[in-house]
Amino acid sequence: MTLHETRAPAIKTFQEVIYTPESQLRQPLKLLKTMFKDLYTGRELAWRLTVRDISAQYRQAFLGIVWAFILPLANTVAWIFLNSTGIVQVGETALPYPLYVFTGSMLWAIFMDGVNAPLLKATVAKPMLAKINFPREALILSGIYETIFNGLIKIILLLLVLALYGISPGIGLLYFPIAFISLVLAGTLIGLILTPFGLLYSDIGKAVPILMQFYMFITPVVFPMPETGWAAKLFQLNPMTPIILTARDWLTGYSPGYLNYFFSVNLLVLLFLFVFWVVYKLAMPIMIERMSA
Amino acid sequence: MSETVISVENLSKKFCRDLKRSLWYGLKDIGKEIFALSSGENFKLRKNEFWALDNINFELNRGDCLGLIGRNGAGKTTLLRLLNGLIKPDLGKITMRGRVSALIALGSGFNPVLTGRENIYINGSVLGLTKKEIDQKIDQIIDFAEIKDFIDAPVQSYSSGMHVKLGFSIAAILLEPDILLLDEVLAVGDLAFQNKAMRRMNEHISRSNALILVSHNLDQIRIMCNKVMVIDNGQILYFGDSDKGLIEYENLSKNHRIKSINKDFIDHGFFRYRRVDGDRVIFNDLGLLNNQNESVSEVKVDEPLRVYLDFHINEQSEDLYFTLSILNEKKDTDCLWVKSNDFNRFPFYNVQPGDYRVIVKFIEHNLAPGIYYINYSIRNGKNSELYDHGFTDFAFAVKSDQHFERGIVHSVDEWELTEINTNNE
Repeated sequence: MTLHETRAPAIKTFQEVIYTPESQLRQPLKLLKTMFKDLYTGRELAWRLTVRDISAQYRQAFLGIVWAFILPLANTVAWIFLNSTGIVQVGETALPYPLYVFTGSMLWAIFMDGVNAPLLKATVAKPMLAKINFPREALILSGIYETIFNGLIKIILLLLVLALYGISPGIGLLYFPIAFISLVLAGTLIGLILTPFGLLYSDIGKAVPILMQFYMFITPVVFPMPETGWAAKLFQLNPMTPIILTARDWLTGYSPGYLNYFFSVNLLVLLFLFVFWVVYKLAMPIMIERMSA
Repeated sequence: MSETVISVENLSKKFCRDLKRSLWYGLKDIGKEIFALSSGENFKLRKNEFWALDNINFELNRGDCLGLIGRNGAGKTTLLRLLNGLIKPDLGKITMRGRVSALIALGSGFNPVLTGRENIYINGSVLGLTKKEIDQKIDQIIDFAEIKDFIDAPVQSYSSGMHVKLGFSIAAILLEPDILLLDEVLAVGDLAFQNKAMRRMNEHISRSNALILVSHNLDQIRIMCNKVMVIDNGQILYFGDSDKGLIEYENLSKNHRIKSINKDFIDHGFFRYRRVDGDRVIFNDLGLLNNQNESVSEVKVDEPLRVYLDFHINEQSEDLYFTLSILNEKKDTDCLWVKSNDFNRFPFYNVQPGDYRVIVKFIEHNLAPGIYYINYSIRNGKNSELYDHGFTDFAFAVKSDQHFERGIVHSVDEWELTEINTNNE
């Protein structure tokens, strides 16, 4: 007895999917439709993955949420020490230096979480990617969710410390979420750019922390903006500068000095996020092919 | 009218043997894809590349259940991955009509620290279901997986059996696909669980539109599938009716076995063991002959088996006495049979010096399909002096094109069923 003898003839209209070697870019409308459809259908999976990763992370860690801010905290302590002993001469800051370095480190750490998340999520999900056809956008989205979650812990701690020093963000707190999201998205953008290459070559994952360490030194995280010279130019050209400065200013009650620059950078971030989302989408089947099944 | 559910035309896919190069090609391919340079068709093989799938064409209609068989590395899994849309074809076109689901990676996305219940939700989401849909079926899953007592314990405390049972149950209960792809997943858990899994799969088959099953269990394929595809080296060797396909596959694997054995004896010599006394009689060769007297290495179950043995004799012999024996593939049993030119049946008296060939014809060899080895000895029939005795690595295959047969003895059988009437006074 073969099965078709027992089957009731179901009359349904079926979705038809066609796979060809042609680049998906040759049918841009279809590609756009799938991208947004996958983003939509992937949102619940993204949420699940986030909940999974966060709860697993904290269930297995004795120190729990301390891990969300221990790195920037250590960074802060190191720089306060270097500055107070005079080993490194840091210029004048409007805020007391410990607060300057603490806010800078925390904000930078949020950005770095965003940078690391896409490649980390995709690497961990390799076995899944190689075998199951789920919306790949879910991995990126889940990275963003997790960065936001860990970022919120940092922000709460930041606000507590600022309050201890008697500094209130005032009206800036209302705008701060914009800067917070732009930190997360700027980080995600860099991570998204690196992911296709990082999945193929492990060098990328190893080089990122080192390169980002250097990048931090040309961003006003632990150093204030240099006034003159080539360093000042470098700081000004760096697109992370307005984001970090604006975030810090809103958080500490100053009025941000680079608002136009900040918004233009954000527009670019959004634009490039879209572009590299397309790249990620196109590259995914090719990367999966090179992974073991 | 039958309706086509899966249609595959001229499908080809390349793979690269060298990892470093493969990654580099990957990078290049990404570039090509992004800039949409060509039509995307890749006809040429680059260095170290080979066709993992080569010009595959087939169609499945509504109701078809296809068994996909082939040796390891033949291209089965690659085909499934292409059909599932995980990777892109290099040439050709795939059309899938309906929702495709694959039961391939059981328990994907399981996090060992989290509980079974939490992992059900995660795995369900990976498979594309909403929380509501999972809520409705979670009890059924826990029930099916038989792990009620452990469902709120972390998955890392599960035995490996429980782990796969849970993975299978989630997929089997949650998925409602139109087209189902199964890759070696039915051999999960104990017998009772396997039977339950089998029942569940059959329910699926009766509801879905097409099924492709990869399995090394040929009985399973024979029972579940109405069509079989035999793949070897990326090419379709056979596509069609399943009974014939299975025989085709059996014969294919025998060819490969014979080839590798024969390669072995070219590399390592013809004999596993040999004793020779001087050069009075020297063994030259042995093998199988077909009807045209050509040397071959296979015979059909219902054909006569003709074995030849070539030798050279330097001194006249009053009585040459040969023994041939057949061993099965494992060479671990006694001889399946031993034959000799018994003293009075086929005596070879007063053989003069020269080159000779003995041919033994086994009119009914009664060997079941399989691989067999031949051993020989040459003696003096008068005093049993042993001239030459060898265990060879010459192997031959017995093939069937009638039906599936296992064991070592071929037999012709008939079956009937009668009811025993116990009230018969």
